[in-house]
Amino acid sequence: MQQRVELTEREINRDLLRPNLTLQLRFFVVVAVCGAIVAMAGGALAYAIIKGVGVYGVNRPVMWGFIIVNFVFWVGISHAGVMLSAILRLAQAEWRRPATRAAEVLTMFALGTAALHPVLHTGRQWRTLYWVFPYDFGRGIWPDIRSPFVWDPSAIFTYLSGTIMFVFILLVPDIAVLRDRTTGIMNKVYTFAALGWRGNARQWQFQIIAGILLSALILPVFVSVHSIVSWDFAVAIAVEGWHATIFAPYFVIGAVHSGVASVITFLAVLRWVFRWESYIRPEHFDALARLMVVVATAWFYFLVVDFAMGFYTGEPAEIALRYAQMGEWPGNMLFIIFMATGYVLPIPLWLLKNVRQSPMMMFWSSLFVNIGMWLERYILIIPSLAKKQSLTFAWGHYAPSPIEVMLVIGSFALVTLGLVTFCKFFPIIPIYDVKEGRAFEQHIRIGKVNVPAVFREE
Amino acid sequence: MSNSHHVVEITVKTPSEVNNEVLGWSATLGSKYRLAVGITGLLFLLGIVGFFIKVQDGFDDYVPWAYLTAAFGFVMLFAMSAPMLAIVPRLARGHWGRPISRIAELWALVGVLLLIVMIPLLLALPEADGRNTFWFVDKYREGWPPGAPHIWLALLMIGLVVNGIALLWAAAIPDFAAIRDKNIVNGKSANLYGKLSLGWRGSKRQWRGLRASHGVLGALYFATLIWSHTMVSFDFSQSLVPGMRDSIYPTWYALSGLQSGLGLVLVTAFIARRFGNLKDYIHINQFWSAAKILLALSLLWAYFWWSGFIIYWYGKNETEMNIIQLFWFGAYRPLFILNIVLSFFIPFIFLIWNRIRKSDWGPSLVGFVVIVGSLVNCIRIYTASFSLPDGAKGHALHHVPDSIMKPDLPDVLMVTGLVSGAILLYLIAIRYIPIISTWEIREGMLYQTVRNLHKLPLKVIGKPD
Amino acid sequence: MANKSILGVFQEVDEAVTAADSLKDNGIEDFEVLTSTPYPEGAFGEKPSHHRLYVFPFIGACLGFSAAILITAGTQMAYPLVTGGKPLLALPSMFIICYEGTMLGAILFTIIGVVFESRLPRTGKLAPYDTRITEGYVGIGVDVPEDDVEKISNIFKEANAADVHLEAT
Repeated sequence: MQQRVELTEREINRDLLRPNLTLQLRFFVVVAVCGAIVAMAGGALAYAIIKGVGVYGVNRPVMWGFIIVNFVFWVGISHAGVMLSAILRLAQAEWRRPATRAAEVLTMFALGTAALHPVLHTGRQWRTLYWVFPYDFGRGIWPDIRSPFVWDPSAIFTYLSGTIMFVFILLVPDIAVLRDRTTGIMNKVYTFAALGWRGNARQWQFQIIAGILLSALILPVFVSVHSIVSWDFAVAIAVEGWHATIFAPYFVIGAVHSGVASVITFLAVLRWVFRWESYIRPEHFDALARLMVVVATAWFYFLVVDFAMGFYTGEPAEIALRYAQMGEWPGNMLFIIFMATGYVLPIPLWLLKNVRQSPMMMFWSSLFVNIGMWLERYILIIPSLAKKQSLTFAWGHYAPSPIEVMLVIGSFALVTLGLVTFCKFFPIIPIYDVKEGRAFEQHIRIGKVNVPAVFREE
Repeated sequence: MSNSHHVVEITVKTPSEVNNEVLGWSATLGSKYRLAVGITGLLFLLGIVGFFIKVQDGFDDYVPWAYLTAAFGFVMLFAMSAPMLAIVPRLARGHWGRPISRIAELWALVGVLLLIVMIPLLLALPEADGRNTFWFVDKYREGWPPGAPHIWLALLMIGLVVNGIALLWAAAIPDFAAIRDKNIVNGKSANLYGKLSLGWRGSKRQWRGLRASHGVLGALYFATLIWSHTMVSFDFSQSLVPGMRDSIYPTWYALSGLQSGLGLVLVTAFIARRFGNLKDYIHINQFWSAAKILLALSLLWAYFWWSGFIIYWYGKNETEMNIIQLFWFGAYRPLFILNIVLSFFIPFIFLIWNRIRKSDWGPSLVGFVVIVGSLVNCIRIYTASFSLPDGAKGHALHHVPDSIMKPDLPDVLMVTGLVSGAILLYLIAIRYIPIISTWEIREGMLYQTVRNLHKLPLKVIGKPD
Repeated sequence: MANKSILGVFQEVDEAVTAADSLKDNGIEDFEVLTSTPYPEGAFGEKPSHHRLYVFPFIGACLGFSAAILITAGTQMAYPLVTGGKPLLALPSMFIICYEGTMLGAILFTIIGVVFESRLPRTGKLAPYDTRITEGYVGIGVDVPEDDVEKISNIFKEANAADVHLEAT
């Protein structure tokens, strides 16, 4: 199954630095298109600031709409980075090598974009600072630390800063490669960013320890982030369907499900755009798909338990909600699409080796998962608020406004813009990791078969 | 690259050496083994006596059966979860699991004992109507499925046990064939091993079938195990507490099973290595690799518990406050603190250190602590659930007992008896089934070797498809 | 007498290993290996290095925890306001923010520790260095008295060095 390609270090540098060292028209096209969409979303936001949150589709009792759904979605996507990078690094999985940085960088931009959403949602963005940061010494007014809306920014801030530092410190050796291959102003920038890296044994030693130690440290943070996002919902007692103890791990595993799927999508695009067939190989998609089968099935178990608990107590209000989520128009249509794209279609496909090893099939199936996972968040949030509860008087209704739709589209453009810009200036496949993998490659001869093998430090 | 010194341990033996040493191993079991069999046998018999004393109370009221339920849950948690350490490395193609896979899956045999013990517990378990129940009894489809929860729970457990034994058998077929061919046994025994090995010859087709059976049976076992733990925790605990609606509870319970099952395999592997002279087969690497998983499971244990607790603490309605009192901060507080220390703090504090993880004693000691933690856990949750008066139905918990349910002498005898019975069954099993999977060791030797990376000797691991 | 830094640059890893062996045969144990790939420690027979990196996350965690306690407990006590029927010093809530603070401190100090222990950042010229190292060449660097320069250069040349750089330290 392993399709190793013999490459010299010079060839690895040449291939993986091509996006960084050459100017390509398509880069400017993508930046222009994404930039334009982001600018339009910025215009929509400006309109919302001037006119107030009335321009959003949210109303009483559906106070949280598309923007919060999208917030949860992007936090979910951000869980790909650490999941892949940290767990596979700790498990010494060889196939992690081309995927780790793409995953980490996706985390960085997805999380940064997610962090904007609560601010967009509030309408008067500058006031949100009072709620979160303890800076108002003059009036002595402090954040309410008993609120999950204070836990949430603290977790996202920790995760985002941790991820940025993680990405940077593991990027230093590759920046040094760029430093040695550039001139002029870019050389000055890379020289500064490479911190004087020379590649001696001590520097490599700490590079490797940093990867492992930071992985171990950032993993608990990654788990906490989506748990706390889930508690934004779950600590509320009045909303049926939210007050569930399983929400935290259910959200985390769902986030990993959507996050790893997005990494597959991203890797397939990278392979196609930069013609990196020798680096992002079918075996990598195969391994990611196997991982996805496990993650998706675990997520499905949590989903089943969560929904089954809705029926467990037999409370009429809870049953009504589940019926709204699964049985009534448009909930039933959304639920069917969600289940089909999120689990029922991709998982049987991924049991087939041909599909697992086809980048094209993996691209589409992973894209499906994220369509499903976006809908999952919608189904969890909107019907629960729209349903009549003990503290509201009537069933509500929600339809997104064009402003909200524009902001959601803008968020996708913003993440794409970030990823494209990163790929332009830094190697998106960790060069030293690929070289290390190459140095560790071995074969074991068994009879007439040459079995691929690796050196393993224990 | 690491600071640790490089000690490369792999098994280097000829296939016939492996066969001779492993298949002849049970004949080397000496007086300590006989002593262990004697003690566990005696305790098991006392447990049976305890059971017959308890039977005097009858099965109309479930409360007297709280401690036997706790013991049942405890043994089921550790014994039935142990085979996962054979299944997961096989599915993930981790060579490190090979020497301990049989040690793990042999515990599946304890399921037979559990099925017997389950009979009185099902007799005592009250009907589901009027309670919150995962089954649809008296809810939306009256009496559906028929016989729920009793019959369905029993079927689930039978499925689990059969699956576990099938898994053990499938993995041991080549070893049974080796015993058949080696003339270690004769007469009826030889005939039996011949039948158990199903005419195994070691053809390519047979090997392919063996691997496929591991994949299918392993995946099925995992799914059945999680649902069995889920349903046992529902029917014997959550359903008995009015108004309790804790969706993480069954998952957390199943996770504690995986944790204690792993702890059990570590303890068993340690005893086999140290006292069974199997150091050539069970290396430090097995403990090191398993310890990392144990650390992760212990962290998850605490995380799952916290996920439940924070929702109840924040929700603060009457039932939620009472459930917090019932399980954690009321009369059961000392047991809860002990539980969290044994199941989380000790594993966390010890296993974060690589030096401890990279030893045989460290992970095994923590494994033992985790098993004790699991016992405390089971006593806490089952006796707390059983301590509510029969007839406490409905959707709210208004009253919490002031004191914990204390065990009487039959309870103590039954708990120790059941645990001893499980160990006794295992001890008898290793007499007849090789404790090391010889074919997995032989296969592992093909894929592992030591080579120099320039000046440094390192292990080389082959990764077949 | 002034010391000189000599860097032998080798195209093949095996040549660098031979050079390292020769250096050790000549009593020079303290040499530096520059590579573009993270080889395991000891792959070139170099001396193992010691560090205190693991202290950094602990210090960071303590500082982060203390800061989080200050923010959570300090702010609530500075303006006592009961909300949601929860105690003023609500331990579960405080725990969550303290957890994040602790982890942030640990991560931040780990980064500081890695940079510090790697002896980075280095400003100025990267002496002795060769840009071919990042394309697979291996550098063996050693600081020696001026008198030994020729001997070391010869060792490198005998091991088939592609280049030998010499700079004052």
